[in-house]
Amino acid sequence: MEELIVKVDSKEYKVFVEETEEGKILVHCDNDVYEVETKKDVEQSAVERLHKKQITEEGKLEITAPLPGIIYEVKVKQGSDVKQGQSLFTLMAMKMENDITAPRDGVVKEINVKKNDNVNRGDVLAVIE
Amino acid sequence: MGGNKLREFIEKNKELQNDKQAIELQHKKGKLTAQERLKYLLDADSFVELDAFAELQSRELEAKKKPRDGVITGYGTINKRPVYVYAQDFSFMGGSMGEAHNKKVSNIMELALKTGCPCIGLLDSGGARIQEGISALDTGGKIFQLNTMASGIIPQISAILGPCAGIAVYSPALTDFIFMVKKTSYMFITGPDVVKTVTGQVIDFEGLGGAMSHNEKSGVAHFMADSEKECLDMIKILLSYLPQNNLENSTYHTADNPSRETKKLETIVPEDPKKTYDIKDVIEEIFDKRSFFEIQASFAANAVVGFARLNGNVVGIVANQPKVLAGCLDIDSSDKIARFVRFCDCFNIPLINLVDVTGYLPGTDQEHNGIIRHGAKVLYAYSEAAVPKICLVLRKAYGGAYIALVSKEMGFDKVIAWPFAEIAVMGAEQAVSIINKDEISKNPKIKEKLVAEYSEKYLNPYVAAKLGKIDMIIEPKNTRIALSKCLEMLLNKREKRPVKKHGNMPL
Repeated sequence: MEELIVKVDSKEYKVFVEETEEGKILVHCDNDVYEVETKKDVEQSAVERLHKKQITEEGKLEITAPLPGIIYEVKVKQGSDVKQGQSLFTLMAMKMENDITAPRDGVVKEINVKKNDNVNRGDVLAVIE
Repeated sequence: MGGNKLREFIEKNKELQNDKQAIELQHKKGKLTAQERLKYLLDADSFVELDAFAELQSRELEAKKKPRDGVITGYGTINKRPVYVYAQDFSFMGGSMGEAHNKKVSNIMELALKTGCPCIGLLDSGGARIQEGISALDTGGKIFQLNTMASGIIPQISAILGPCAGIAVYSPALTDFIFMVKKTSYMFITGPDVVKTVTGQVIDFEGLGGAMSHNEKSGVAHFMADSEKECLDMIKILLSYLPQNNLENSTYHTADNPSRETKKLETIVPEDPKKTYDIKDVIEEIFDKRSFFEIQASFAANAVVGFARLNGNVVGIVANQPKVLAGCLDIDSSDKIARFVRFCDCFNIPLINLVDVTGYLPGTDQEHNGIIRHGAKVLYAYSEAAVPKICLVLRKAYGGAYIALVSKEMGFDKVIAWPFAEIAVMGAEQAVSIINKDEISKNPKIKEKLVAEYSEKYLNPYVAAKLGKIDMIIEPKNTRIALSKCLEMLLNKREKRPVKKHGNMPL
């Protein structure tokens, strides 16, 4: 809960503001509680979310495991330059050596797994920038 | 005598057709008008319009009345084959579907059904016309009813060529194939505005229901084109593989050598079953050159389905794609395969399976989302299909996937295998750790030996061949010849099914 001073028609009010789980804002003022519509804020935050996502898409890119399995081979190192389509990992899953390739050109920023690690579907294996 | 009124109508119609403002507006969005679409799709001068006089009955909308009520319906030919078509006109009240509009669409669907011709819808509509209330909805229901009645009798094709919602997406969903165009076509139950009001989620048209979303994620659409013209071209190509109706066969057309050896397969497919490769290279090599037409290329890419010609005959191909998710069967690929198999069965298109798969994908994600229910669709669809069913095992066919895609007892007519095919309940390591659990726990070193023994004994096609579960073992280079002969032998297959209303397919 945050304390704010709100000025309405040149009169000052001391209010407490809290955000509920549904993203609504409750304003407590002189023992009264007001629910405030936050239409614009929702819009704004969503725009920000979209914007942020775009940044991750353009900047960092997470390489995730498409299948649950075991890392059989790590073919790149941190800092390696990679080309689109280049194989980064071999994932042993469904009794096959599955190539996990770079979706686009970049530099390997992080590698989160090593040989013989068990991974689940969706686990982040590496980050490319 | 009496021709004045007709001439007047024709004049008025011309005026409407040449409404420059409306045409420009459509072109600006990168779209064609309904007339232009029909002209491009159909053979020159073949189109005959029906119900051009139909107009809306509502008094409140008197001022907006125009002939046609926002949809052009009729029949024409595509490569000399008759088809029924309707094209919605977005410039008239957003292509919205009112009573007269819907009745016109129903009318040509009934005619298509009576005459056994494919029915093509070119949709560009926001859905039911709100001003007309329940009448618009009710007549929309008639369209759904006819879509369902025609299903399995005539091929039904829908092209989404604008922002479509409500009736204008549910009717396509009941048809056999949906085409979409990048950046101009959208499908949703409710648009981004309603989504925002109800959930607060802000999402644009493209993200919510664009061509990419429906081709990649939802699997609602089957084809994605870069432009409207490309989309209409693709419809023509698709039609070339299909018969006019369920009582006819697809046309025969050959352009490749029937006794061509398929030597490249030896290099495309690694003998080591752990190595991956692209199954599409295999398809290109086996089937008639440039005849493969893939369906749902972006959705559930671990299974590949599509039409091709084998020595001139149209076949439906179902193949595992080892390059993607090890080619496993999962929820999405099961749905994709089952729907395709049922389509082929409806329209007398023989099925050829190219099998190289270890099985269904394990995991809580799959189990909790109902892989059993979805995987069962594949079993149901194949068991039910009465068309010729041929199976080629390239490398692996284990467990449940073997039953689903290979099993002769389940109804596959001919099963062919390559010499290094492994047909077994499961891989050697897994099998040994179950069968010889006690021995291995006492002496872990023995495992390696047992695995080698198991592989030697069971991971080959000969055990299955001795039991009659496999008809032929062939070298990869003879694949095309062997499959062609198999297909020709089976083309006249007739298999009766017990008479019933319909089965209760797992859905």
